Amino acid sequence: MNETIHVGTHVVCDACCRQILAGPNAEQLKLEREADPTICVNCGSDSGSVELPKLAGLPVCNPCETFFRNRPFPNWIKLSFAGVIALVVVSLAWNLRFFQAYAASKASFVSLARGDAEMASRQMSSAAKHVPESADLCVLATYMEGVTLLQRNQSAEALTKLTACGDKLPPQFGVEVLIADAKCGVAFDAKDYDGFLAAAEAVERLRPNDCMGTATVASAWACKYAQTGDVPAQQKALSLLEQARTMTPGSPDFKEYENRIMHQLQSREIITREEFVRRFPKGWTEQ
Amino acid sequence: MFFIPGELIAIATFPGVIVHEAAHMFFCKLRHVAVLDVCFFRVGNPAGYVVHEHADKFSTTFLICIGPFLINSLLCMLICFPAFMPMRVFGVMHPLSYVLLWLGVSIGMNAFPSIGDAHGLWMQAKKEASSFNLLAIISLPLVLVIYVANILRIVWVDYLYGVAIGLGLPALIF
Repeated sequence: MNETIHVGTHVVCDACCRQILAGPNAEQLKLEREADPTICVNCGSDSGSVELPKLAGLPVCNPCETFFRNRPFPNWIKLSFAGVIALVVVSLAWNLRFFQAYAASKASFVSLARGDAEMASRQMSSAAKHVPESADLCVLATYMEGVTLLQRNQSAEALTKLTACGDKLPPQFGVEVLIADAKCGVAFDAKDYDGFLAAAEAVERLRPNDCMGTATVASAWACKYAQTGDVPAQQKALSLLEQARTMTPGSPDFKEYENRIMHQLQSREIITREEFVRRFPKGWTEQ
Repeated sequence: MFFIPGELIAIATFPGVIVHEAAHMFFCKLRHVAVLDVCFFRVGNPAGYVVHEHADKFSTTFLICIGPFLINSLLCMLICFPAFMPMRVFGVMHPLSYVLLWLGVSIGMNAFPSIGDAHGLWMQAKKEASSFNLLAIISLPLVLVIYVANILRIVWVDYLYGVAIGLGLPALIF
């Protein structure tokens, strides 16, 4: 009886059922498997005259019902799942350096935005060491090193690093301006004040509305005056300083720079920023 | 767009089919619903199936139907994640990353409930919605979404979903 199927008004065997279902209007027929209520549809065990409990409308013995309700996952499924999880864990460990590099590069940009170029450079170098195959990270690390060296007034080394970045970074990184700044420093260190003036004019062109750009040119003219005593150079420096003063009134960086330039114009002595700060920790005032 | 027989897609993404059916079975076991028959993968249509008894509670039917969507999506994200960082952020390709992406996207691609799942859910949701079962009411538009998603499989929406979950979501974070 468990081998038969109720198709519409007929009771047929499996093979006949398939034949009927292959014919026309098959989708309108109602199918129902005929089942002996005393025989388990799964294991075929006969319970004699006792009707078995039904599961999904079919008679099923107790052990089979327990099996259906607690059907275990096959071992290959469990092993595959464990394998996938292991693969994910191993991959995470294998690729940990990429996550470390990402975190370090993000931290580096945060440090740079905070103005801590030394820390930014260390963090970016660490990121580049984690992923040496990333050209972008290497360029960024070189860039950060260049910025740090420039801040330390190691202009020649900064120029080498920044030039190496070349056009590999987008314009918002301001590599061109930094290179021009470094060139100013190199010329100043070499006491090449004509070179300093040329580089300063390049800085001013790159920073057209920035008082520091104009002040750099004023500083170059002040150096030329200090070196030669040429009064037009002095006038040029003073006029440019006046011009810069109107651009960003109250800028502390500019005030400090202006103070140094004024000292240079008064004393005709060319000293580095470090020396100036050492001599005049509270700023220079005209006697 | 080009047509590839469903059986070939099922073979290429067989881990997803297995996970989908295993998730159906997992939720059946979770809600003590008898699993009468199960096929995790075969070359045919459907590529896998779970035959289980009818669940009286709508929430159980909902979970059994939608559960694979959640499990497959979650596993897709989890598996693709380790490959995302080297490939998308640093552009570093590695064979292991390709394996992870294939596995993850395969699983993500098979996240959508099938038409059969949607049909079962629709039948019970219609009945339960008339007695103001909130979950059933919410399920009605959801079933429509499932139907539409299944139709859009022809334009690879399942693949796009897998890629979006595996690579798109981490891209929003990083």
